[in-house]
This record gives sequence, structure tokens and C-alpha cells, in this order.
Amino acid sequence: MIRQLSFVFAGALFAAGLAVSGMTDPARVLAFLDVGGRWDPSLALVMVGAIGVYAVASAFSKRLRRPFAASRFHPTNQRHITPRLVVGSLVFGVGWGLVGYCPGPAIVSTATGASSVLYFTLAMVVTFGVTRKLLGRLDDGADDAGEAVDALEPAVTMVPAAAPVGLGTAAQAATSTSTTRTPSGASRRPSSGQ
Amino acid sequence: MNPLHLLFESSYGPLAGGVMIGLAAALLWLVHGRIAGISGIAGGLFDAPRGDKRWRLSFVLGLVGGGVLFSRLLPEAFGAPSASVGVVVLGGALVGFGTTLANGCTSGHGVCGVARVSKRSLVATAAFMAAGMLAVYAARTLTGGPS
Repeated sequence: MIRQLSFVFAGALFAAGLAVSGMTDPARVLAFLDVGGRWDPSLALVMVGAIGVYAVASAFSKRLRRPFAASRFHPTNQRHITPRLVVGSLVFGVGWGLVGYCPGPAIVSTATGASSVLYFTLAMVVTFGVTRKLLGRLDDGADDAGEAVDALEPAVTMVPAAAPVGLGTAAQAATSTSTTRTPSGASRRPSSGQ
Repeated sequence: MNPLHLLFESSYGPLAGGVMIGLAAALLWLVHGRIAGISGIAGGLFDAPRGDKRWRLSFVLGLVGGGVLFSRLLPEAFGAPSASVGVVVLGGALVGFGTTLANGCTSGHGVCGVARVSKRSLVATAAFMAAGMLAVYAARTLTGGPS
């Protein structure tokens, strides 16, 4: 229960940050992107503040064997710059620039009940589901790998299902603690609380 | 005057909001080992394994709950899109498709990935910023007025 509440709190704090920063106002976001016109660069400070804090947290986490309330970190298993990454980001950017919402502010702004926000978020969320279904079919059976490795990454790995978890964790352990863990040791640990 | 309004009106609003976003993302990572990527967390509600769905739902409920609270505390922070319904729906679909394809959005790539200097996230962030700027420029040029 406390665990779930801490997720609710993290979501609410994230939402508060988006509101206070001005990211929940599409007009302001579009002005930030309007470098050829009436450019309002102030939203760059949102990135500065968020990245600054998170960089410290990320560096600190390298000293931890595991998160404070979970059995392991769930880092991304993706390493390569793929056409899929670039094309997806370009498509996302076009949608962002057409309306002024990225996923976080869109979800947060549904709270206002404004119909245009609801249309945007509904279209976005439905497309999340449809695209994941299509990609899952394309990747054909790699689902287990995607699930086990990282919730953020839909199934895309070409390696056998069980391997990336142990290897990924071992690689991470090797870079952070150097000698204390061996790959076999890492893969013998319980995979997670799932 | 409500200090929240003062903060929002001041030039420190974006920085303060950014710090709050960073703290929320740090909480997810340090306490739960999860990356605060909104598109990934929300999208995972569709296809994550059963035991992996509850925290996602809690986080998304927190996002909406925070929205409910702040749309009352700080209503001037919330605007609505000026685009037509068709463009709004198209935009939503492009954002949904693109972020799923790229495995991340402004939060997962733009904040968390850039903060740990991930090459993938740096490329993704440069790409969506550039595409967003071009889309705004194109929309303004095509419609002939300020967007």
C-alpha cells in the first residue's frame, strides 16, 4: 500500500512540476519550439532543472546494489542508434509541434476535462496500444525478453529470452562494483519481484 | 497572493518545475529502480506482465490526481490546444506512434536519458526537438499567421 502510494506521490510530484514549469500550456510549448518566430526560450530551464537533479540521482545510483525498495534496477537494454529510434523521434516531434503536448502534460491535462485535451490523449493512448500490438507481432515471440529486461522497451531484442537479463545486470554490476559480482552470480539472483 | 502563483509568474517557474520533475524521476529510479518515461509507463499498461501493471496504474493516477489538484491551485498553468479537432487527434496519434517506436519521449529520453548521457537519448532528443521546431515553422508558414 505504501509502495503504491509512493508511485502515486511520484506521479503527482511529476504533474506538479509540469504545471509549475508551464509545460501544461500548449501555447507556451509551441512558443518554445518557434525558433523562427516569437521564440520563448524559457522552457529550456525545465530541462536544465530536471536533468540537473536526475544526473545527480543517476550518478548516486551507481553506488547502490539495488534500489531502496525494489530487488533490482530496470535500466534500458537498448544500446544502438537504430532507424526506428530516429524515425520514431521525428514522428513524435511532428505531433508535439502540431499541438504542443508531449505525453506527460497531455495525461496531466486530462484533469481539466477540456475536450481537445481528451481527444489528444485518447488518440495518443489508443496508438500506444495499437503500436505495441503491431510491434509485438513484427518482433514475433520476443515478448518475454522485452518484458523481463525493461518495461520501457517493447520487445525488440534479437537475443534469446533469458540471456539479456543476466548479461545486462552483470554488465551494470561490472561497471559499478568491478569485483564483487560475477556474471553467473548475477544471473543466479532472483530476477525481480514480478 | 498565493505563493504558487508568484512562482509561476516569476522567471523561476520553469526551473522550479524542472527540479520537481527531476525529483519525481529520481524518486522512481532510486526507490523503485524505474525510469520515469511517461510514454513507456503508460504504454506498458497495455502489454506489461500482470504483476508489472499496478505500479504503472498508480503512477498514472498520480499524474491525473496531480493534474486535478493543480488545475485548481494554479489554473493559469493549463491551456488548451488551439489546433482544430482533426489536427489534435492526428497530433495525438503521431505522438503515440512515434514515442512507442522510439521507446521514449521528452521524459524518458529528454530528461532521464540525457541526464545519464545516453547516446540513444541524445539522438532522440535532438530529433524530436528539431522535428517539433520544423513542424511549428511549417504550420506557421502554411497558415500564413502566428500559430
